[in-house]
Amino acid sequence: MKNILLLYGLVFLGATPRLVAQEKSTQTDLRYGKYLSVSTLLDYQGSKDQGVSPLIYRGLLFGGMAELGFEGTRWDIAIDGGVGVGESSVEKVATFFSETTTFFYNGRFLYKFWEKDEGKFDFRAGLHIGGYSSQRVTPAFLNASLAWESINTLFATGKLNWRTSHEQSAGKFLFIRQRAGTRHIKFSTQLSLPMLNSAWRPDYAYIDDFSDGESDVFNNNKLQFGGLRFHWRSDGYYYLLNGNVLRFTYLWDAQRSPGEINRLELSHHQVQLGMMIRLN
Amino acid sequence: MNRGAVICFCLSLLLVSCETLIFEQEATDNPRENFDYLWRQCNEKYSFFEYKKIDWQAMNAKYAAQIKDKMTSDELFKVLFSMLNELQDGHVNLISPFRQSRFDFDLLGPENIDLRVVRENYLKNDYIITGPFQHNVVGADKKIAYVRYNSFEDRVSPAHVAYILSYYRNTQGLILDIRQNGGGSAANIFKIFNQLVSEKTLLYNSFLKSGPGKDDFAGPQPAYAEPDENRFKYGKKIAVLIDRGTFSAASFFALGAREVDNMIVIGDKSGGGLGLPNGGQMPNGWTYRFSISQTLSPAGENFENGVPPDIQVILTKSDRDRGVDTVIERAIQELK
Repeated sequence: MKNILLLYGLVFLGATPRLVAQEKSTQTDLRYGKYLSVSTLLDYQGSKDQGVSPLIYRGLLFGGMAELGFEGTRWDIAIDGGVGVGESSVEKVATFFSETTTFFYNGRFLYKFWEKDEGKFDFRAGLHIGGYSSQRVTPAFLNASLAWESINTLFATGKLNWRTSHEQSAGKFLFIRQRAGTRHIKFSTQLSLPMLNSAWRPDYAYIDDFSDGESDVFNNNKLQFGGLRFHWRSDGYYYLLNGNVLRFTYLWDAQRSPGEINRLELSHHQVQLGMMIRLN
Repeated sequence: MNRGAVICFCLSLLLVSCETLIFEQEATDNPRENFDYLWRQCNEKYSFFEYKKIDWQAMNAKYAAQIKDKMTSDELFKVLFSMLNELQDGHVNLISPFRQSRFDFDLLGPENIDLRVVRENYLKNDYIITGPFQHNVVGADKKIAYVRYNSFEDRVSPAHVAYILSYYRNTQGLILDIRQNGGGSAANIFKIFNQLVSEKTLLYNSFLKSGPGKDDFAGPQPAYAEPDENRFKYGKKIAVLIDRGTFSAASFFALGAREVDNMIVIGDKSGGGLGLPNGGQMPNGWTYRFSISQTLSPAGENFENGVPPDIQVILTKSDRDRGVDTVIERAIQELK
């Protein structure tokens, strides 16, 4: 774990000076534009799959996200995807662990419905399609050790933005040279509430029927609609003079699968640190 | 800037606390909760109550009375071990950090193999190893092939089987000895059968638990052997030797062998294990597994208590003392 953290730290610190130390952008309003984002992510997940265990497995996932987005004076559109890999365990029995690989993906489409003070505050709302698909391997569960699940949700979403700015004088922040100029900062918070939630996961017996010699873990999965899911994120943006943006994100996602039998409960507390690279 | 950060932070605390809306409280870890949890999981998912005529409600009454609030982990384990052993199923285990339960299915019948006799007088010291198989020719005139397969956990490749069949192409028959074979990967069943059958053959049907009711099963899931077009066409009769230690995947193999025309099953009935075992965890972290499916012959027969042989043969003490394996000798006689 230490090595992975060190690697991420080196990659991020190595990339940062180059991305910030560029010539000033010729764009007049740096707050809006088209971006390609690359982020590193750290996810603290909790999962309780009552099909195999009444206990909550907790652990960290490490990974990355990429996003293609557009933020304009009216529209806010983004598509992102990423992956996290890690291990979780229960406190009671430290020797039992679960290896998880999770793919995250979202599409957000928001339109501005309200603004105040010439865009200092605005509220945008729309649709959010989000999901994650995971493979979990828990050797202690023997023939039920491998599980594939996919949670996908259509949300109604609302986002509140608060923009501010300050004048920066020339100087240095650590080893990063800073030019004089107006620095824009934005905070946003977005809450997504479910309209349609689905869970595709193992059926009742929670085992792949391999007595025919064909091990097909997907064969015994079932798609169900319903359940509960919440998704909330807060972002802090620091706009650089060259048009790129440093972004810090905290995201909370929690879901409960439909039905009373073999219920799956999942939560993610995710932190992302990344760079939005301006494309226009 | 600070105000925005503070607002976001407060919202984060608010919403994180909403996690209790999503997560049900974790099950309490005390002896009674653990007993109830295991009994309930078994009640809803175990697949052989009706077949074995087990009154699981009565087992609850019998063993719940032995649960005490202040009992040690070892005492709790013993009670749960005893309760699970009422199922008399080798696929039922309780695993704690300090102990593991089991059911000795192979002790339900007489010992029907002496491996020392097999090694000294049948495999001898010039036997051949091909993958997971040990083999040699046996019989007075060395006209019968003898192949020993110890465990279905040992990976079989079609090439292994093709080699053996080709090597013994001039023999009068082949013995496949899977006595004391405790099972393993079901995939190996088909790697062998697909080299032996001459047409698509239904070996058995499986039914998976689909709900908590006693009769909630989905299926059938048919299992077919399909002839490998590159197989060596051996064409001679094959005797499959089984005993009480033939379990799980090996029992599946014995069940399927009954459906193949040129195969005959000789020995004692198998140890059963025709249910797929599923794993789970208790509130105290211990894990368990038990059978959550049934496998029936194409005619609908349930042989969970043991696949019967076509010819019943038991190893006699006198033969054993003379270094003779009664079961192998009967198979040789049958193949000539």
